[in-house]
Amino acid sequence: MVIRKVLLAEDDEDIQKVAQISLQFRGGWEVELATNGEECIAKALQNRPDLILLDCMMPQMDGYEACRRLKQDPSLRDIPVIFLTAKSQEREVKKGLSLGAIGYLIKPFNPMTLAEEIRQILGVEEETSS
Amino acid sequence: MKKPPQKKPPRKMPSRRAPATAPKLPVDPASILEGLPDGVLVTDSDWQICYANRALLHAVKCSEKDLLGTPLRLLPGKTGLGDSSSDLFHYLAHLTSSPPEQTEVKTVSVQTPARKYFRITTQPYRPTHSKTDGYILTFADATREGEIDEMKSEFIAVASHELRTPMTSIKGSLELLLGGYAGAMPEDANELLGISLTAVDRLIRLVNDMLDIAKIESGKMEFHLAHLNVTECIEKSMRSIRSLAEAHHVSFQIEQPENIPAVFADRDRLEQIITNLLSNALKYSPANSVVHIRTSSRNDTVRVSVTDQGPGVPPSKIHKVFDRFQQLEGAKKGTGLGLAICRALVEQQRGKIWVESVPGQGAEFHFELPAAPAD
Repeated sequence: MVIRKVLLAEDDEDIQKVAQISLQFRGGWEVELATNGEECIAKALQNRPDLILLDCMMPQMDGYEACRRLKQDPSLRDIPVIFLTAKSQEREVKKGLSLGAIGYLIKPFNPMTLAEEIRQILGVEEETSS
Repeated sequence: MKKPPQKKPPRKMPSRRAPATAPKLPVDPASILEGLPDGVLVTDSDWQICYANRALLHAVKCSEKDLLGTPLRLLPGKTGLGDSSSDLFHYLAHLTSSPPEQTEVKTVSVQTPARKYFRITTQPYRPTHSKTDGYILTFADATREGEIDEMKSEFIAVASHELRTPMTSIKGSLELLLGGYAGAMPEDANELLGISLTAVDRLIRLVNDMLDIAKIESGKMEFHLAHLNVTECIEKSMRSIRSLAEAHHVSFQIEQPENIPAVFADRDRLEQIITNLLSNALKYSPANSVVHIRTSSRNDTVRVSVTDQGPGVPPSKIHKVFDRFQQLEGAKKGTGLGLAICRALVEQQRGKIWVESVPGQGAEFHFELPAAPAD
């Protein structure tokens, strides 16, 4: 598996910016942004990202509902979803994973290690430029 | 000559009696109870209501006939002060299942239908000095205090959430700058960024702790009780705090017999209690010392004890260590809320927590939780 495009759904602009820089700087990935669950699904259908990062608490449609719908859509269900959220209780993690997410990362995240943690969840190596 | 009859010495009055010159009590002492502004309720040793004064009957909008002989725990349903999910119902169920041996005070909310608060004081009644014959409960209106507490908890919860979000961005930005995102920094700038990052980490911990306290006090913290292996929770807590222990040059030593029963508790909250106690022990431990963690069981409870080799707790502070913002001299930086959170979390899970200490010989923190019922 190769990651080139990441879709990040996060409603707080500042956290969005820090995560975007982190994924570009440490992952070398192209990052597209959404601010709620509905926009996330629309952009996923339009642009077919290699990975979706989802916040839980977002207006209009939260991350749990967005994940459920992504996994119900045959054309989107194979895109790996990772939650990136401040909800850190054991039952919240279980809920996220039970909806089909492949991983669950807790805020505050360290932007210097975020990309590496994502690679570990996906089981992919860092791409070295030739 | 006949000796005049000897005058009897005047009978010594008990000191609490009024002197002979005081005006006569205008009412029968028993009727004083009827005139009190606070509700008074008396039960027998089986918690059956055997007396309720006028203020109590007025507060619960119930007649004496309907109330007398009723088990205390059924008071909310009998009086329309709330259903089985109400604060009062839970408190009375707790009170009657674990009767207090000393005076116990608790503020509870009721729906009348407006939200009101009562400060309930329960006192065992021992007329014979040999056994408990019943309980006297007073119900004082504490609505104003309750509302202020509620507003305070709500403010803290909102403020904490609003503070935590920007702090996540500040922390992330600082980590990116320190990680070289904007290129190499001069040494002085790096040092200042490092100070900022340490400070923001501390702020995040403080805000998280305040949010937890607010949630507990406003009754919004949920507990998902399950059968838990205490050893697993201790080991997870130790892993989460290992780097801090290494930084303080302190090691952990765990001692436990094999047949410790499971506890009935919330996993995240149990780990939080243990982590806070370990973190507290680290704050007071001298370098190259050992923090011991022991588990034991007795009488359907499981006990966890955390012992440090620090300076101990002075006797004058021993009753205050679980209060908020009570840090002893010599502590390394903390939020001052860790032990207050421990106490609240233990008590909410029907346990108890305490500390034993001889100054100069370390401190021993213990908590007990109910063992899980056998399947």
